[in-house]
Amino acid sequence: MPPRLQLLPFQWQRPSTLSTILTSFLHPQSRNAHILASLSDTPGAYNKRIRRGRGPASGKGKTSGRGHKGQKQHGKVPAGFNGGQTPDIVVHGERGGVNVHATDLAPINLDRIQSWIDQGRIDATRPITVRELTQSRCIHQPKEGVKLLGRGVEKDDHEIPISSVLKQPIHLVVSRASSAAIAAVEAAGGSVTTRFYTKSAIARIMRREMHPFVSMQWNKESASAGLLGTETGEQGALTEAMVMREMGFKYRLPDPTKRRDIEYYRDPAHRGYLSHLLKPLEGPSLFFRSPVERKSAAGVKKEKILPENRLW
Amino acid sequence: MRPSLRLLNLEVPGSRALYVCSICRQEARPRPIVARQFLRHASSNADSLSERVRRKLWGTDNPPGLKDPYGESLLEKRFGKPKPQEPEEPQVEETNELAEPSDGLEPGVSYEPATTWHGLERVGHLGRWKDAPPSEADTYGSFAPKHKLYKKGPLSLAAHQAAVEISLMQALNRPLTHVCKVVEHDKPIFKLIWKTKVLPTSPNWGESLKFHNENAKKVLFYVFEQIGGTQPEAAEQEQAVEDIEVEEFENFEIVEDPSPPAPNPRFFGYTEPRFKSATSLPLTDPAIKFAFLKRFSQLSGHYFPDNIVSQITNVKHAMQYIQGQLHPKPTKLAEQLENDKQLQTLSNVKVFSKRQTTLHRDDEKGRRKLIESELRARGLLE
Amino acid sequence: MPGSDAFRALKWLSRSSGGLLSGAETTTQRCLAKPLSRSMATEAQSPIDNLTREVPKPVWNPEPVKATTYSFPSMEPLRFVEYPRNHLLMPLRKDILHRAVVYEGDMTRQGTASTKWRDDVHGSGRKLYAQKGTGRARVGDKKSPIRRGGGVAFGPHPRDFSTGLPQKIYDQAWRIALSYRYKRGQLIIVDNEITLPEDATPHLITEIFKANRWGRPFGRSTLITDQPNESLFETVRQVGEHAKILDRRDVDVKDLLETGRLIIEKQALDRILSQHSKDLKNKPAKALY
Repeated sequence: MPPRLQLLPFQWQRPSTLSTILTSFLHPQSRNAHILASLSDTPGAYNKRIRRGRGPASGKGKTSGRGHKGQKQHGKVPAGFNGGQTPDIVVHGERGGVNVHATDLAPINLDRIQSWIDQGRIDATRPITVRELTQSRCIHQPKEGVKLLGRGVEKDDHEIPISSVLKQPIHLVVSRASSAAIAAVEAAGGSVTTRFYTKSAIARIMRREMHPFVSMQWNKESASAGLLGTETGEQGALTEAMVMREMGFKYRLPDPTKRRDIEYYRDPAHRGYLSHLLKPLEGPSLFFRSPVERKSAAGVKKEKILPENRLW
Repeated sequence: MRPSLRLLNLEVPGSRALYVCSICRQEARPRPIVARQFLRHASSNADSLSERVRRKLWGTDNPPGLKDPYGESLLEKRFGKPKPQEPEEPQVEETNELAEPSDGLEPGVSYEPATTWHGLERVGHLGRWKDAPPSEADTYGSFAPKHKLYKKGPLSLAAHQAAVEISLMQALNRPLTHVCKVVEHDKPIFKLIWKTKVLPTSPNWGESLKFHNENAKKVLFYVFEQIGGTQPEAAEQEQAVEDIEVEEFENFEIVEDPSPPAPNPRFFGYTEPRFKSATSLPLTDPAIKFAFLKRFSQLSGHYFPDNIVSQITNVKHAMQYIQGQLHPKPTKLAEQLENDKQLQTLSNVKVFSKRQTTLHRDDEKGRRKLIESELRARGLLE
Repeated sequence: MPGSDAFRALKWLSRSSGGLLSGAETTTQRCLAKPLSRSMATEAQSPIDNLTREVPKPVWNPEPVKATTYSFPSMEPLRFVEYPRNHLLMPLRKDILHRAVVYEGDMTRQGTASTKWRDDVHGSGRKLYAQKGTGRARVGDKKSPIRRGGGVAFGPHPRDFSTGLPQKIYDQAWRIALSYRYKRGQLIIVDNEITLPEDATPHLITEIFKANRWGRPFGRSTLITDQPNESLFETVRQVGEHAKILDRRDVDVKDLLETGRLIIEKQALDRILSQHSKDLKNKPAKALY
């Protein structure tokens, strides 16, 4: 026999197959049908495809659900097509529409807030702002702000509120508030302050990059002592500069620039945070003078000094 | 005469009748193509390609002019015999990397190319990891022994040993899992363990031991007190204990041969536990359960998956699991039926592993021989 | 004290056997009564007793799931760890797994197949020949989809194939897949990190897989690490016929179901479970101050 050429030294060769055969014999492969092959959704989760034109038993056999004759059977008819008659949209024009200028506010009612306080999801002793309301899921989504509404206020026959669900004073900062809600909160010893928010500002407030209500134009008189007292204790004066410095916020809360917004928050009836800017007798409007102001100004001007010998 | 030459003969002017086209004639002609010729003689490394071309051009063996007037040509590079040292260069590098670094060429020694692969370290390309030997870091220290226990005797021995050890640790109030630090006991200690009985009287394992005698108790307590201390010290102490034992129990006939560390047979040749009471010990306390299963898998080589661990409530279950592993239910229905004892006792039921045909029946009845002989007689079967 | 131990063991047994009634009173009663009689039955036998003693309120107090952790290369069992039952003992729901796997598959589709419609094909819109008089069929331009070299009429265009699945269902699918593995004993939890020595070669992996029976004859195995480790991954990929390795961020539900078993770092398992238990949070949201 000629000498055999050994390709690899013994220690480098693969282990002998005998032992592997032995082990596999002693431990037979435990391979089952794989679970991935047997996965399926429940049969009820699927709808069977409707097979049109496949005989009378299918229910969609003869006309395939398209009725008899005409364009509708054979193809498609343009939307709004009136059979050649002048279409409705031409005769009557378009109706309806979307007010693109409207602010989309999340409504929140007093009874819901009270229920949240009862559940311990909101602390009544601290200011309740859009951040607290959203975090506790009291409102589902803060759209462009929050509007406080007065459900939960009991009224008598003459629409005069008697009592409300509120059991304790609460201090709220919201975008807008109804007069009934304001009355109810204040009757319970709390306060409502309305202030300006934008959508992006709310997003940043939620990320804690912005203070929930202190802005450049916010000062000590913007809100009641109750709100500020709960927030800062005895110090009282919350200014924007201090907030930015001490609380480490990244962004400033914006103030209104539109006339309509400014006028809303200048109105003391709305408990606006800019209402302290009004001078005595001045109205919230930036254009018209208030009737009181006008009257008083006119009265001053018209006052004439009559000579003694004149009656009028 | 080769067919090509025969074709050439057709060109003789007299035989015009058989016309052969010029292409065929060209094909048949022996070709003086240089590269081809060169390839045929590639094994002779006497002279280079350009040299041979030059010789042919001049028609002499010693053509005038420079030996290599144009330097190495492209053709040369492609087809030429490589210079003797070139091919070995990468080979040497590879060997330097992987095997002995000493087999590189020394400058003084002349290189002689190998014609066969006798004596070569290796042949061919070694690019895959499988071709390289494992490195030093590739040693795998497994917790379970390489050779698993398969038979019932050694398995119950292992269970007994684990039970005694855990009970001892429990009695000594020491961490239970420390017993796993000693993979194998010395023979005298193992013998003491073997002689110890475990009675499943109480769920507290520490109280369930019944020793062979007082001395055994003392020795075992002393040995197990040491386990789990600092490792080298413990080893020393064990040595010391061993000495004590040698003095104390001379009748054990210990074969002390420290020189060859020959691998002991598993459990020093014991095949059965002396007492089988350990199998009914409960495994209710999670700490004991964990320690026991850990030690048992260290001794037997079988792990217990989590779903099994929750089902095991005593030592017997653990053993049953391993035996079930070893003898799984057959996957084929026929085998399963064949193993069914109840079916086999029935007189009117027969189980076959294969489908029974008329051929089988003929065979059984002895008809087959007759049929075969008849077929042979008629010449239908060889 | 043997008595107290026995008591403890019995208590444990009664709990482990899936008893609905727990609490000291019922267990003692069970111990004293005939072993196989149910406690409610004994109560019914003694009406006076029933009046004097308050009826124990049934409490569903299931045991947490126990799992063994191992140290990686040696596979030495280290300890029992406990997991809630709704993490590793979820009932198998093939429909949820199917939805999760399909959802992942849809999400993985590249959706970049693209063909050119007649407008996108390069060329002029010139009419090829006159409408009438040639005796041939009327034609428009060269790029018509019925002509060779023209556009493709209803060919694929890049699109997003991904579908939606409610997060809570997807989270459940993760835990169901892990539970399926656990219940079949195919979830091997590694207490430390899955690492290899510096200069280890694939030989070591094959050795480990051979000793532990994880390799191809036993259905392959998936190793899941918490953090990617490039050298380890490269080594394991060399023995791809036996092993598959993924880091936690790369794992899908389908990966959990694919091979014979999972060998997963405890940290990775804990993180996967905590990330995929959003449906278990039943506490109402609270304002944070």
